[in-house]
Amino acid sequence: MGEKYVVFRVGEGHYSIPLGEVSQIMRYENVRDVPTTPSFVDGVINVGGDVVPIVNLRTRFSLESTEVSRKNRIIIVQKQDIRYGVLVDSVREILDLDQDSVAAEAASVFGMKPEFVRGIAKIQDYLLVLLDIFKVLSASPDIPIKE
Amino acid sequence: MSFTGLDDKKLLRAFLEESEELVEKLNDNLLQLEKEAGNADSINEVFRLTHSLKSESALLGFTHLSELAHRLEDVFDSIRAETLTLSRPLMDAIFSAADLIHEIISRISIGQIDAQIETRTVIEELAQLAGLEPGAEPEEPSEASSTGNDVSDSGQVPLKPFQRSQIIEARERGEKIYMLHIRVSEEAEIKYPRAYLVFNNLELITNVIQTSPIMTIPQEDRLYERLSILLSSELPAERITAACAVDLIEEPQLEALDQARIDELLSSSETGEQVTLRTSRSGRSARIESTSVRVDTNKLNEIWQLVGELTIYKAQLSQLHDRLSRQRGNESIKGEVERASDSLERITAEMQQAIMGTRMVPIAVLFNKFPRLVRDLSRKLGKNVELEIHGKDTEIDRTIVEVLSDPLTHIIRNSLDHGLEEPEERRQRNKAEAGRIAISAQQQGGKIVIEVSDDGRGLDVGKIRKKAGIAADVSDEEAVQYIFSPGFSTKEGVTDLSGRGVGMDVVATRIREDLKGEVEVRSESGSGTLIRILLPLTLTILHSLVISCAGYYYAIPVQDIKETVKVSAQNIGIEGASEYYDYEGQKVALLRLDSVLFGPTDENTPAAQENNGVVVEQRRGSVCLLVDELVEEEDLVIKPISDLLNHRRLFSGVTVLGDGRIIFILDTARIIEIIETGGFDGI
Amino acid sequence: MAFRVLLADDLYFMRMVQKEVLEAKGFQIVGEASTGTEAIAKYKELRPDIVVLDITMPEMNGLEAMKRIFALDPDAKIIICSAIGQQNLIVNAINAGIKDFIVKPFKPERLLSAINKALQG
Repeated sequence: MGEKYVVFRVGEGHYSIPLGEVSQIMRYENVRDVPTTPSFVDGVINVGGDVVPIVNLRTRFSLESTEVSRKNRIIIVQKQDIRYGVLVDSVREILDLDQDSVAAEAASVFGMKPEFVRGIAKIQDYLLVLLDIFKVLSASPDIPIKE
Repeated sequence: MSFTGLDDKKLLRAFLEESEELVEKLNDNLLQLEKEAGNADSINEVFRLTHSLKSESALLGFTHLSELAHRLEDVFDSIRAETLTLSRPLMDAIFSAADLIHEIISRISIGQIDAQIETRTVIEELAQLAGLEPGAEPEEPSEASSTGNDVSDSGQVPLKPFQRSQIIEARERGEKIYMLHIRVSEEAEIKYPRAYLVFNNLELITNVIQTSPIMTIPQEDRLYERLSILLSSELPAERITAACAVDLIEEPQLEALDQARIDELLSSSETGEQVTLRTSRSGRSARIESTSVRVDTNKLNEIWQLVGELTIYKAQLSQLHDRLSRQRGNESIKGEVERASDSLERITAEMQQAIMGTRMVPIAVLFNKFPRLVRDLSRKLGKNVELEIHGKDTEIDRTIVEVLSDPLTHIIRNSLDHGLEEPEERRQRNKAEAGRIAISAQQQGGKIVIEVSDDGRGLDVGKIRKKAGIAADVSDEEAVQYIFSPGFSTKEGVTDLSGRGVGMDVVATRIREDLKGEVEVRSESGSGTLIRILLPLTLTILHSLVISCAGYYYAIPVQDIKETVKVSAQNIGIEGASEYYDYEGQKVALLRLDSVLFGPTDENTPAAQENNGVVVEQRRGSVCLLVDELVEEEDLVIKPISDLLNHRRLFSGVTVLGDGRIIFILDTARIIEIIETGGFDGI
Repeated sequence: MAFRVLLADDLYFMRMVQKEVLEAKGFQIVGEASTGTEAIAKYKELRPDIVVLDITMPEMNGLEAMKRIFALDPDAKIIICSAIGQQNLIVNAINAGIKDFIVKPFKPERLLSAINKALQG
């Protein structure tokens, strides 16, 4: 038995976050624009009365923006009392991952800086990057996540 | 039949709730008796309370607790019969016993057994002072009530007397004694209820004597992977194993015990007192539903987690709905799934709100321990002190309670130790002999205000000035605030109560850093001292003025607003790089909010235009904020704001209105701070 | 002759999955209920061989419905569906007489083996 991960796509890559860090997965709806924030904050969303900022991972990964489609999802991640919304291209599945199949990667993967990557795993038809999402979210806005 | 014939788990919970109340009432009555030694009502009440405690704890096998309560009961029986008078030392011993009782109950509630606390000394002391016989040693229960034991062939858990009788009676009836071992499959997500299924089946057709781990009070789930059951029955073995034919239960091993094994079992059981009180609890009705429930914060967090998990499954549902909708047809199914999905979302949001509501507790939980504290300390110091408590129903977030406990206790100790004078000195100063300490709590303007005051000596401002090297032009009022600065102390000698000095600096740090609050002091030499703590409510409701600016909404706390004004061009002047507003002859800094929030604009305000201005005042200074519209006054529920949205820290919080509008709350103090340091120049 | 099953769960989706799993193995779904009240009514009307009952239903929760069904028919065979963390509820239900319980989200094999074992006893 392994751990469960939420697998999602941003651009060409497959990424994942441990299910334990995810508190909700929502559609891209009712996102409100807010002024004066870093460019990768698309706006905010109301989650159970809380105002949660939405971080657009495409923007954060320095990828070209695309139009929002029905496949987009906002993954609400939570650590203690702090919540963020992460906008991804699509959520693919919830995967049971055996820790033995995860390799720690020191070098950069897909151009992702190693400090943001917890490991990689070879899934049947794709390579999965296990993200340290809170590191990504708390990195200073002027630091790019991808090289 | 289980060995008491009653649901032990429910009993334990009811016992804990009830006994805690009994102990509280006990304390109250004892305090009353202290003031009025002859109060017959209190004496009878204490007698009744200790009697109840004795019976109930005996019922659950808490022999040490029961013994202690019994001793107290005897003491008060004698007092009632007037064969014993309440003396000072006796009263102290009684208080020690009451404390010990409370301690034992607390330990029991976290799963320990009462035998772990040493009661001998207190019991003997009581006995001596009351001229009573100390009585027999309490029995050592050999089965821990909170850990599962391994009933293996070699290490049999000794049987209780009642269980022993069951075996003997079963033999007399011609029944066989069996040992049954079962295993719960690894696949079972939760083991205890699985095991319980088997246990229940067996109870219906056999006489279950003992189980290991115990089934009546659930232990840690993984302990139930293996279950051993000692039972008696006249049924053939196949019937008994058939009762174990439950899904996810494997390998039932049934062993009929021969006479030699049975004799071994019987001889290893404990001797002595039978737990005889299986019968009714003598007229006392069991406590039924109360309107309040003790909730462990861990449970609350558990609920949070579960709700969170709920939303994951809702998400799965959502995905399935997506896949479904790609297929043609099945419109009604799609609709139903969508509706179910929406309901789930709504319900989980509501659940989260509901849980937030359970986080507030009355501050009484904190204040309740102070009467005893004051009594004990004042006696120790030889001072006469009266304690007043106000506003104990004021609600605060439960997470604040723990952090606040130490600082408050410290402040009260200080008052007792340094603030209040000894009776002699008070007489000389024409004060009432009894010193007064008052604790109060109330909600004021979105904050919790807690005050502790005493009518003692007040702070020695001269000493404080000297110690902190405060300049002469600083007022006395300001000077006393220095007691909160690190490493400060005005009292030369160190008593065992206060540790190293007064320690108000530590208190201040706790309050400022851990609780994000403020603390201030007011003192009058000779009259007394007042310490005031201001704490933010985590669920703050703020009466605010909602304004609009460049199409977005913002709010300003009404308590920060001096006035709303109409600002026309002629009231605006320029000084250096910044603008000011001519407000009743005074120059008040002027800020255009849209520039502050969105950057300087090139547009010039047409000369004739009148703007809405909000004059905001803080201790540091004032500012007039130019905005577009004054929208409305509202009570807003303020939530904390994420750093990602607040990188200039201009906002103190955020709120969501019913219609989904998001409103940022302006941190006016911060804005004024920035003005003072010239951060808005040129805007 | 196929065993007759009553499904009670407020989520249509859940019932759909259970129905598929059971019908594939030859069980006959004679009725479905989406509330506790409905479950009791349908039990009265259909007298199934076994009931699969969700105890997390809103509006007359499953536990209440279970009790009423037992009151109607002391020999009723009921399997409850619960969530993790509802240990107390499950134990209460066991005390009331259910045959087995399954924990959501469940695997189809579990539902089948629980029902099969329950119908044997």
